[in-house]
Amino acid sequence: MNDLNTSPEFEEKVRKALKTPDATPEFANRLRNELVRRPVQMKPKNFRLAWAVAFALVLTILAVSAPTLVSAFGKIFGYVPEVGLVETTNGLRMLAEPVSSTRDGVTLTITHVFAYPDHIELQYEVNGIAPENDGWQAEDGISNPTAFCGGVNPGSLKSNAGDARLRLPDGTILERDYTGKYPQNVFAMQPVYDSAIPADANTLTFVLDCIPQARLGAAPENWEISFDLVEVPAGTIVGEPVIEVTQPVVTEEAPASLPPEALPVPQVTAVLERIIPTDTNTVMYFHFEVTNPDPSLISIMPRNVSVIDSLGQQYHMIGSFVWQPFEYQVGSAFEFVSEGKPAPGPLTLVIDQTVAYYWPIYVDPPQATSEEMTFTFDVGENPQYGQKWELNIPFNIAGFDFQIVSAEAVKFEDVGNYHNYIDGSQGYEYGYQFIVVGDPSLGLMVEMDIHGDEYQCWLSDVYKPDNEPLIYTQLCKNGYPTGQVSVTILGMSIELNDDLTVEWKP
Amino acid sequence: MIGYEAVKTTSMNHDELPDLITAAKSDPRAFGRLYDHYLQPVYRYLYSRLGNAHEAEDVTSLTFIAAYEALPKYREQGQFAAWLFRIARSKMNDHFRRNKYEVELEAAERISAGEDALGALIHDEELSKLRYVIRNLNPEEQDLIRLRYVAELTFVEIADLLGKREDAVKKTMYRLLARLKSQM
Repeated sequence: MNDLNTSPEFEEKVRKALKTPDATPEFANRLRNELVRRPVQMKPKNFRLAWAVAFALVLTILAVSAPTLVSAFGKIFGYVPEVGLVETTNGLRMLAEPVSSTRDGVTLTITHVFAYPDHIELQYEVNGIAPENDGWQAEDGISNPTAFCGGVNPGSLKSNAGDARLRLPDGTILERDYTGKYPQNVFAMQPVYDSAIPADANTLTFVLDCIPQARLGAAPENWEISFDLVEVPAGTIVGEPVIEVTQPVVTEEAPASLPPEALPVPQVTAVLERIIPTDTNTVMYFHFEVTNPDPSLISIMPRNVSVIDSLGQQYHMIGSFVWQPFEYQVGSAFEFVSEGKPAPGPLTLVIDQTVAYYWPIYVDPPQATSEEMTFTFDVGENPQYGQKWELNIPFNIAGFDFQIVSAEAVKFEDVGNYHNYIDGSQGYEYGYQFIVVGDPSLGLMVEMDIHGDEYQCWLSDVYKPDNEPLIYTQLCKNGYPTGQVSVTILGMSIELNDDLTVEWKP
Repeated sequence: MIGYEAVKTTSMNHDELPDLITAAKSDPRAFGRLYDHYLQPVYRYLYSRLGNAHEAEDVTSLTFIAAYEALPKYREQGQFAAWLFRIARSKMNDHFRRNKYEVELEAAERISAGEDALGALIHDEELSKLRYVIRNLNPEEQDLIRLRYVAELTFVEIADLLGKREDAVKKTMYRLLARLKSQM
């Protein structure tokens, strides 16, 4: 649950309670002088942060890539599958070859290492762990987390037991970065080290106390594996050459399914940025531009993308991104990979489903207050399962009208009819289900939150039967919220049915 | 002295930030404008963690020097504040590792009480109680409060910094405030 009713006055009290002095003018000016007098830094542009490396392919491509291509492609120095764009190879060292070690039937392979001038990215994989000894698969993986490497009980501090370390030739130990500096440092088997390693340190040792999520005592522990790094000559194309799309491309919009004068549907165009033909597929980067976007629009997300080649063959494309609109605000680039290799020649990118997200309370500056997006209804002191309340409360977000038609007291088993929850209710048993009606052509979705900390309302389910209104349910842990129940509309989305096509010619 | 007399956070249109960052990669004066905008939020945040002006100045200096040197490697994706505060937190962690301590809000409160221009408010019983309640939050929650109400970062910037979704940060913050309020 969410309580969005905290007043600005209370926030001001928090500010006052934490008030700290400003920097003095003397200090501010002194530091400013020092900064502006420092020599201009002309360091090369750094790489895109990468979270994995496909080394075998990289070496292969290294051997065949012509250095002369570098100038043709500007600052992009290639694309590595599962890694993305690499923008410079200046000072880059890589794993010389994958290294494996097998103990008691368990094989650990260091598959990829990139040693950048200021940090190291490593990836390894493990095979041979029996399912009953794998915390992700074992029956007691959730109920008994401390039986597995790195597992902790809920509420306990994070364990670093399964974090691999690196040992340099002089004995220095590098710990996995814990500062949060590298957003790709998410998975234990793809650790990042916030360290530069000496130029002459080309043989490192991988040190691992226990395999992440392996049952303690049941799988080999205390691994030490040495591996070698090799230098990548500066300017070398790493991976696949990248075609920067700089020439004008034709963007066509199919006839709008919704006349703009009838509904404020955003006018969206797609802009193709890069194309990377690989041996097995084609990778494309594009972003959206929106004409006169409503200020509460946060994102346009592509749902169904394909590419048509010069022979007229159409290949579905898979997006390499997580569906999180807040992280892909309008203008962000999307990476899509084709399922198959298009024929050489012109390509047509087709985006035939997109979703527009509007979150008026959470844009900056806000386009609505939480009070404006909140409705209340009285369920009395003893709401009963199956009880219904007629609401008919109208809302308008970004020009789109919709209505909260009714609410009904429901149980988890009701949403279990719509979707399969593999973890069950997790204690969220009771809540309210809302019927939401908007223009049927919009593909409307909303997200709501029931207030009331004591009820811990959290588990939400959205269900849209064909030709029926939207059904939104939120369930709580401690029974039905009683009395005046407040609900906030956090945001909404609509589907844009217009086809976007972008034609590209070599 | 480069000519300004009062020290305050200078206003800056967010739309001009990308161009300013690009310019700052080769023009120290442009970096100066970024510095003017972000100095006080960074300083206040570090002060609230370190508890004294001397160390706050030291770590603030290290932060901006590191940011200046690293700027050519920064890729503008609308996350400059998060990037800068990530450096500040990293420098602060280095400082803590060397000095083996971290000031608690209680200490910062004492220091703040001595220097707060709004001295009359410091003895306000309600504020004292609020500080007490905040002090009993866990470190992550205290940090979230500092980022929002001391550094005055936006939710987007905090989300970028912490690697979380903006709506998740908002929900956490609102719950936190609701909890604080209920304990008052």
